[in-house]
Amino acid sequence: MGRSQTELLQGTLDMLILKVLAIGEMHGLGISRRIAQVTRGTFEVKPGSLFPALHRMEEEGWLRSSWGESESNRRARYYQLTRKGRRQLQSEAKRWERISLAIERALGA
Amino acid sequence: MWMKNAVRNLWRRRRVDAELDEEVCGYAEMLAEEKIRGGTNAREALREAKMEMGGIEQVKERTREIRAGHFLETLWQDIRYGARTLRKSPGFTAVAILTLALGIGANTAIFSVIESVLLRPLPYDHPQSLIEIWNSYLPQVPLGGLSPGDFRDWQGETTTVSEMAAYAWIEQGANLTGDGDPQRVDLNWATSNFFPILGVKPVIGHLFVPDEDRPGSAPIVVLSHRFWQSRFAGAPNVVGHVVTLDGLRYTVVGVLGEGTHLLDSPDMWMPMGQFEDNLTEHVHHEFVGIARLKVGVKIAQARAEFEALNRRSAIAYPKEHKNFGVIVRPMQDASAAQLRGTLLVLFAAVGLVLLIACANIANLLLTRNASREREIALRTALGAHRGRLIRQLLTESILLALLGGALGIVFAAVGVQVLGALAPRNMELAQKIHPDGTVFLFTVVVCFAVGVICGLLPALQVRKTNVGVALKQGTRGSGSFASRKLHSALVVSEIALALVPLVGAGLLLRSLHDLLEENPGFRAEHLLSMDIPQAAVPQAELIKMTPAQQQQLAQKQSLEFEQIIEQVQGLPGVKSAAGIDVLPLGTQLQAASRFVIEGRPIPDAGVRPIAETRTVTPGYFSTAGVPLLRGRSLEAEDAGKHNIDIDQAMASRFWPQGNAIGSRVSFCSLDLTPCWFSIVGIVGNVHEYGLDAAPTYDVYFTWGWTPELLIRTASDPHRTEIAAANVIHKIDPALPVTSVMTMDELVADSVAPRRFSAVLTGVFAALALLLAAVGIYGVMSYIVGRRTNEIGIRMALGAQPRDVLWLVVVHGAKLALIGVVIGACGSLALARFISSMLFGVHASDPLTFAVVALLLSAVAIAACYIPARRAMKVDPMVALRYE
Repeated sequence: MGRSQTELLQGTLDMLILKVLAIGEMHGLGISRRIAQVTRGTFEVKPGSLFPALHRMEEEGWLRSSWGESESNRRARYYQLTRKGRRQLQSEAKRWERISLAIERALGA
Repeated sequence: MWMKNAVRNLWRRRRVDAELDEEVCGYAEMLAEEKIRGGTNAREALREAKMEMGGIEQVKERTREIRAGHFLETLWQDIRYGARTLRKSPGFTAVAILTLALGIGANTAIFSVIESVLLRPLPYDHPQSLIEIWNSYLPQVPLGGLSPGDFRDWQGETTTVSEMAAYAWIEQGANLTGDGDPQRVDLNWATSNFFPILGVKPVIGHLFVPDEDRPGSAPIVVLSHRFWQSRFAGAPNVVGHVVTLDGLRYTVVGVLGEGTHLLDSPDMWMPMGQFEDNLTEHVHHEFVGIARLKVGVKIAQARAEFEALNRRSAIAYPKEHKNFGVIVRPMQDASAAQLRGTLLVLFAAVGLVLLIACANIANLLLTRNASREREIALRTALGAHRGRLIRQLLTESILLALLGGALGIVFAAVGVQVLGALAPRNMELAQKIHPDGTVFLFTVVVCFAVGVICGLLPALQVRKTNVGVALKQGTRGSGSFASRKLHSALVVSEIALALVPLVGAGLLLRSLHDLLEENPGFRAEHLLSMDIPQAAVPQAELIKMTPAQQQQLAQKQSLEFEQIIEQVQGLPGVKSAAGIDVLPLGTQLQAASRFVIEGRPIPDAGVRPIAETRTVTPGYFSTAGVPLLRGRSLEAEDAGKHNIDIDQAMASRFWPQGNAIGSRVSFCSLDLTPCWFSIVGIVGNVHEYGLDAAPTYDVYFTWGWTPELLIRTASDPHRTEIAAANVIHKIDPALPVTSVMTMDELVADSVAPRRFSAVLTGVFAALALLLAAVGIYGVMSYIVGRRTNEIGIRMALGAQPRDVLWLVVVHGAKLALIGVVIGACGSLALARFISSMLFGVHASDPLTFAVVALLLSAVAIAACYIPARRAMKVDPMVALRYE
């Protein structure tokens, strides 16, 4: 797998996580399920990618985590967006719009 | 942000890890709950969940990898793992650390000398813009002083330097009397701007002022820090104190700072105005110019300017100045220049020693990693990245190198002391070495480099390991072909590397041997020398004397010295005694003069030859053992008759027909009236400047006081020492008796720099040989160990123990031969660099090369022999069952 592709996917994953967390706080499995739901199953995020991404984004200061109770009364780690994370979502979304617009044009031409 | 995260991750690693574990396990359990809700069997659900996730441990590991400080964390793991591995095999670790400590220690020791002596800038203000200006008079005097007149002229005319100063080239001495015992002190003269140009300041008092550059200035002196301490115990009230030098009184006005190692560091400095000579003449070349380049001026510009000034002087003063060249060079420490060659040779030698040590360690690591092949293969199979494995092996070798370096610094500290003690006395090496942060940094860098060099080869081998093969193999493989080739290559390079310093040491030791065989021109054994200088008659008084009065003074001095000789000769055990003004085997020009021969064209425009001028007492030649070849030796009345003896070199060069005796020579041809001296005898050549120097033209006069007393004794000369000094002090209590030594010691001192470099190179070459032998032994043992199986089969098939021995020894001999050939080629290429340090042997001396090659091969084969004996004793039954 080429490096550029990984980066693109990673960037995409970051944006998707930011997007689903914009609605409210969520735990790992919740985020994974939500992403599958909003992308209608296009993206299946495996925990092997999800957890490194979450921890990295937390270290970047985009997310904040806290321990809470899950639906099944289990201790789970909940993630929520920080202010910095919201700004990041905005800029990522803009960047994505530009890219997709450009690609659309390129394909439509 | 990164720092904060890294600190949290590393500091609270346990907690962070526990949370990660809970989070990932929680995920798995929630996934399992989903599956149970979907109808999966409760027992199956968790297993399926884990499989779907791709393994809980793997998820955790991938998450850890992205965390801040992960690199540091794993580095710490590697270090701990490495330390554990090293602790597990203490024998291996001890050998490796000791080997590296020897190599690194030797390098640190030599580097700390190089750093202190060669690399550290001179202790002056902006030393890089300081230059020295000298004259040369080729071919005999490659480096000589400036005349006072030229110095004055050039000082006024130069535009490339901001200021130009001068100091006397040849230090002189004076007798210090008055406070305590009479003492001989070294004096130097300097212009008032000399210290300011260098930026040297006094610790107490003041230095010279411009008025004192003029003749007839107030009699003052500035003390060196060392002399202030030794003679006046650092008393602060020394300023204003009056000292008596050669009967004249001088006021101490200041003391130089402690760190001021000025030039030849005399005991005292006097202002130029006290230099008792005409400061406008162009005949005597007594001063060295120093100057500071103007900002932005290159040394080449200054050189061009001074060459032009020199040409102008030659036109203005054709009789005096013609044929003098000018030398402009960056200011340098004269003794450092002398040590430069030696130090670079030693640095090269210890560098090679270190490379051999590295090869040994690489070999040891290879051997050990080979037995760890399975462990490494297993870790690879379990998902360890190869990069990580390589890094871990490198961490281990760097750890070894750092431990070796730590011990090496201890070795170096001891080594530097030994070096200082071994170094020739006049080099004052011990006083100069002050290891500082640079040396430490050097050692650390060397440690890392060594760690990487040692570890890289074995680590890269890991990359080649085939997991499947390694795992399938038994506990002991037969050793892959590639790794055996690598071992052989290392053995070959060790032999080649060891040959180079051995050849260097061989050449230097042969030079030293040949040099000591060289006849100094006198018989050194049972000959004692001591310096008994009489206070000089002040120049001002000498000038006032008529020639007849001067003659009278000289006669009086001769008689006084004759009295000493008579008394000393009366001592038990003394065969004879005599005097000379300058001892042979000196290191710098002391007394020499240009001369012309009667009846031959005066080479006014040509190069006038220079003769060493020596004043002796009549019995000198027989006492010193200088053979009389023709004519007669000087007698007391020859002083008044202007008769001289000359040496054979001069006789055969200027009177090849053998008619020197009776010819007349003048040494004051520049005066209006030449003063002719008649040659009455020819004596053997004496090495005036070291055993390796070409013969000089020597002229002997007899006249006045000769400060060096030579005593020929029947047995150990040192036994006469005290009695002689007592006799001398009975005659004149104000005479200092200094520099007492036997002529054997003088000869030994004169070869001390060569002995120093030869012996040290020899020591390092021996170390190289030892390390190489250990390395070869290690590899051959390993190879024999690995071939036990094969040897067993051979023996089972009928091979005799002798054949097996032969097999191993031939293998070693082959490697030795290849190494010797490669090393010999390298040595041939490198030996030219030391050809200037050789005497009597050529850089490609076949005997040295042959002996060294034989020695090295013998050692290599001996190192193979022990493992070969072991191979011979292999029991085929045991060997075959071994697997």
